[in-house]
Amino acid sequence: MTAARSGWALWGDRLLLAVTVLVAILWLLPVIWVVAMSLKPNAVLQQSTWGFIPMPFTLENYANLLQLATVPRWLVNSLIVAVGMTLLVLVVSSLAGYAFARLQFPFKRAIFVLMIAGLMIPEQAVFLPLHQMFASWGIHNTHAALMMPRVAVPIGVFLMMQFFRAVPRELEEAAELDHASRFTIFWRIMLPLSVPALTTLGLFTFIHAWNDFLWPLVSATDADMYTVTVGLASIQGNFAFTEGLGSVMASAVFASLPIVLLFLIFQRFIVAGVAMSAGK
Amino acid sequence: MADVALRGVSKSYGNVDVIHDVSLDVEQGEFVVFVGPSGCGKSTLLRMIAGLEEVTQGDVLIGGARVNDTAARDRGVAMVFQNYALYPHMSVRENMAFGLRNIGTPRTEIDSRIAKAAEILQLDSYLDRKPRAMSGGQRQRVAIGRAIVREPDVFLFDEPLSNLDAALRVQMRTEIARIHHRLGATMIYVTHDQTEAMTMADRIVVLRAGVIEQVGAPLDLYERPANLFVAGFLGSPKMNFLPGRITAAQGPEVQVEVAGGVRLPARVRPGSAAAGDTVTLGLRPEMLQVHPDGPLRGHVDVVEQLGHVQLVYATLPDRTAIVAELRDRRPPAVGTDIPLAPGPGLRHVFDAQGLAITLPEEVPA
Ligand SMILES: Nc1ncnc2c1ncn2[C@@H]1O[C@H](COP(=O)(O)OP(=O)(O)OP(=O)(O)O)[C@@H](O)[C@H]1O
Ligand SMILES: [Mg+2]
Repeated sequence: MTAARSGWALWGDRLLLAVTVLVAILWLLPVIWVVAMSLKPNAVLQQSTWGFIPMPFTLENYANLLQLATVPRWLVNSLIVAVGMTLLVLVVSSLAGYAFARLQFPFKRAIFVLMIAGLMIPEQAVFLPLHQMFASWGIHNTHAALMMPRVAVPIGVFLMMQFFRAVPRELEEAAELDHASRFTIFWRIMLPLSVPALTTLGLFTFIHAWNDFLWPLVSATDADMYTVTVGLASIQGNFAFTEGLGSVMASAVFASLPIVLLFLIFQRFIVAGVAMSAGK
Repeated sequence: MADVALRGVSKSYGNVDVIHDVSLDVEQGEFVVFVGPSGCGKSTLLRMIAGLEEVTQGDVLIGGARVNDTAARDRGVAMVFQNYALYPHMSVRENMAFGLRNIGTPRTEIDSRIAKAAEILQLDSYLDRKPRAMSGGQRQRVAIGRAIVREPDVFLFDEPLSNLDAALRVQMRTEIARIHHRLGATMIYVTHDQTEAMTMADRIVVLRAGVIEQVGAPLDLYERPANLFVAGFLGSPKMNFLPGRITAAQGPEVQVEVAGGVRLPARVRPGSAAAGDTVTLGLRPEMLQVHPDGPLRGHVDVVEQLGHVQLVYATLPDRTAIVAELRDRRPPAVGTDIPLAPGPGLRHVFDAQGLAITLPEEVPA
């Protein structure tokens, strides 16, 4: 009986594995295709874009890309915005999360409800007022303008609050008896303990910031202030015409490189983060 | 070093009163144990002394100064928590150094204090370990070490041994007693284990439902419990309580009729009882003996062989359960009837309200 059941379970596992691999391959095909095209000479691509193996092989497209003055500039913009936003989100989320988790202050409930309500407002709904506000302050086309609307993230505050709540109260009481001030408790006890949560939140923020398209498209109108996503989109049309399809593909690969690297380095945390947000 | 005093201290959560008007003086260097059943308010009282819980009414004094409005960090107390509350991301050394760093103690001073504490607690070889890589007993020693290095005026312990196994508990018990002798600091120790209370305390404070039932030296409480609750709480196995009635009273001498007609003499404070009064007679299990002329006829239900003693659980004719602690390698068989006699030792008498009216024995000098 058990043997038969475990036999079925085994086949079930194999089936699941096969499906997973199949989906992964389907998912990867376009990516491989893009990489393959980026490594082919433009002359070949003009006849056919088919084929997953870059034969003949060339790095010319990447060389072309790096000669373009604007691309490195966009990369730097993206980097500044993504890193800046990540750091600010971590600071704001951990401070606010701690306050909601452990401090008593007037109107705590009301403020918390307001913050949670922020989760329900789609970002596009506030685009227009946001744009006008920034315009009237004259700060469009700055890095600050690209970061600011994304610094207070309700879900980040919520995540950190939940994490801090799970830390045993005795730990803070022990620290208090150890002469620690409120800030020392936060800085020396709570923050070090929340490194896993901070890492996850930081990674997701960084990826989100790097891939962000709509707001930078609206706010950064000066080509010098484009982020990689906006910049690449802006050149795709005539770039394909002047430099060839291979260069467009090379630029796409180039832009996603940092994210791929992040995934590889922090794989463990990303998996944990997905599990966490799935309400495990 | 400091003394601790509670003056009419009460605590309420909303309209739930948890502590009622508690007054107590803990002398400098004394080891005082708060003991009582779960939920009686031991932790709450301790946390009010520490400053982790606000005092609803009354005053807490440490070293003679009122500290009600002093923050926990400024009270000069250290606390050892039941679940250790070690900082998980810090090594043993960092755990102990944390409190000293916060008040700017010089590095060399911190090192020497940690070295001393590590030696007292035999933690030398663990200083660079993280708490998660240690056993429960080791963690508890670190928690004690963290308190020691601060050289506080007052040590507070909240059931520090309850997560340890029995053998380790006994070992740590003596270790804490040793530390108390060595440091001579004031210590207040919470437990619900009466053995810990009896063995460690200079004085025991017995609490029930937020009220102090009795305060005194362990042996005092054991031999002169003020009421049924204290009498039943201290001592293992529990004191036997036989419901009875006074049949004759003359001066301190009374006759108590128990177990459906057995009359036993006892001594009460003169004038505290008259013939006809309903009372409870208290007999410690260790004073009961099997004797051919024993007036109490017990039907043996269970026998527990502990090696050095045998616990015999029996039922008297009036269905009162009774326990006798015998020193007899061949205890009576289950199902037989045995004659029990109260041997030498104090026969406790409690009045209808449960208060002791026993005449205290003259203690031979
Ligand atoms: N925050 C609170 N709100 C309401 N009641 C509380 C609160 N904290 C404790 N109590 C109540 O106060 C009483 C005393 O609690 P306390 O923790 O002091 O008991 P204890 O003697 O330490 O018990 P234990 O041996 O189980 O630790 C309990 O009845 C408990 O339910
Ligand atoms: Mg408690």
